[in-house]
Amino acid sequence: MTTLEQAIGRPNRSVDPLAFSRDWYPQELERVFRRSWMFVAHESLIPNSGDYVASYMAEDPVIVQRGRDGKIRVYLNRCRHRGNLLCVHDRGNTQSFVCSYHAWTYTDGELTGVARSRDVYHGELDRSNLGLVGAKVQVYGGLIFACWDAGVMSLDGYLGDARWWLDHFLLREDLGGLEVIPGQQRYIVPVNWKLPAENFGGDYYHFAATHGSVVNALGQTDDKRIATTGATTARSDKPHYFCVAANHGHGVAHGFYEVSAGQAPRNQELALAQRLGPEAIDWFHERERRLDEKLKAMPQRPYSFHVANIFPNFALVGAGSAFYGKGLILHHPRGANRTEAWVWCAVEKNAPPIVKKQQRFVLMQRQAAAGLVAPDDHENFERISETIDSGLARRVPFHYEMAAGHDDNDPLPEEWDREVGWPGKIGPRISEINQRDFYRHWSRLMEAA
Amino acid sequence: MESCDISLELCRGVETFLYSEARLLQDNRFDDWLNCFSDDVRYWMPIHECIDSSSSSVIESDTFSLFDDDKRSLELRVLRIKTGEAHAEVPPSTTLRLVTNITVDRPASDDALRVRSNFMVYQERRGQHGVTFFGRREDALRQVEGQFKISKRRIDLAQKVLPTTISIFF
Repeated sequence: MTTLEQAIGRPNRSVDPLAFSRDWYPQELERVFRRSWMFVAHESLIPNSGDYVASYMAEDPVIVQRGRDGKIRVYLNRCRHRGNLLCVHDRGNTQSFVCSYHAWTYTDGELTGVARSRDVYHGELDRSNLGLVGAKVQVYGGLIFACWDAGVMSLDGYLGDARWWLDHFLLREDLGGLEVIPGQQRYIVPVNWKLPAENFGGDYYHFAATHGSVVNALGQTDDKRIATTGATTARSDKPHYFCVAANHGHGVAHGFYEVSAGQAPRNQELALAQRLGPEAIDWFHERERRLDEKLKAMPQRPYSFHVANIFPNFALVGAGSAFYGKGLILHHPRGANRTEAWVWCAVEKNAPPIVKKQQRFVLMQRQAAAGLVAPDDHENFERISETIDSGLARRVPFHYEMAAGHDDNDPLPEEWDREVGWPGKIGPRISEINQRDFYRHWSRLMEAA
Repeated sequence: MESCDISLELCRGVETFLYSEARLLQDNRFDDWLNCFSDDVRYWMPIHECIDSSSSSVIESDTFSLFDDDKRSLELRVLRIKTGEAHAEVPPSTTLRLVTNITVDRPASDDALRVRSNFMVYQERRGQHGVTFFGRREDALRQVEGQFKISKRRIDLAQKVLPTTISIFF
């Protein structure tokens, strides 16, 4: 038994539940979300001039549009006259957005039409200062990121070590890249956005306890369509690495976890391909050949990572298997204790139709709104959150001490570089290094005025 | 209007079937519920996007959906719940189901009945987090040895943003 005083008096490597409270939420919107690069949409959703997607950057509605010049722009989805929402569809194609209130009209973000402008404004309206509020935009391998802070570092610098992992195991441009398929899941989780973010960014530890139902159910059936390598190699096959802290100790904290290597996952994937037929087998062999070629200089070829979080709220799932749809997930904050998740499904563009169908199916059945995996995570997050913003729980810090003190020496960096040679800080054991990095970076942003 | 070769007796039989099916779910009798479906069933809950474009040529069945299940994947969902380790259903949710606006017709080209209904499902977890799903369904119903079997179910939720993730059935 620990007294309340003793519990509160353990500040070391803990996170104060106040971090999830409404007291800090407004400051979080200002200091974390308005200064960070945020994923807003995938380029494949807007291939043509005029195509647009309505998205969000935290609580701010934005329009992501490919302009007449082919350039992608991101604007606050608010008319400059009275702040009315301009774009009311999820996506579409238009040259101009016309406000439904007084018909102010915007083209490529510029105010190009004002109803009765000469008459009612006496010709004195300076349109040049009344364009839509624009964000800075950069695209990385089809992933469109935007940031409100014009002085933000480059997206390359922001992603840092994460780029290598994204390049090889998610974006795969040499394999044709990704395409997002139509349809986007949206659901509410009545929890703070950081709970799903830190889970995607490094919580390998939860898998066995949280997702035992899926593992056990799969053990009881011969329907193995959704048994992916990520879930099965962890128990028996080596080598298996648990976390990659991209930019550990410096820069922006991004977390990747569950990295498999060696022949075992490849053999399991081949068995999956064989069930799908010759087209899938050929595609898989070619994909493996190209990856081998690309990664041949590595002392140990990583097979893939499984799950990741790009700071602050962009989560990735499904990269761990060739036959798992890639989930691009945004955890939009909707108040201190409410998150709206958006899930897009991306498939590998060059994959044959039967593989794309399988990728879509696996994501739907696993880490998705009605999947067999996500609801059990959310149940835990909800149980955490029911009293997080009131009562005593608010004063008792959360525990993030696993393997703390070993972040920089487990194993010794030189030995490890010889063994794997991958970018980022690789953990050979389960640890909470990624979560510590996440909250360290979050605190830095919150403390900087 | 619906085609007129459907007898009142048949309509009544279909309604009774749907009410019994809803009761099986309310009572968490999932194996019995699976028996309401034919072995070749497609159980599909598509997603609705609000698209402003005349050029949309989406093949609906290839889109990302909420459910796109066959009998085997429905069975896997039930297996998961029955492990007793699916936290989202421990303890089991309480659900209350209203099934209304039932119409029955028989499309000319089909030997199955087309049954449309609206539903409201109230779900409560641990005495908290009451959420409500609203939607409509279109079922294809076949009679096999005197029993109705659902061979297609399409579920369209009225809500675009789900009030929670889904570990229940509709």
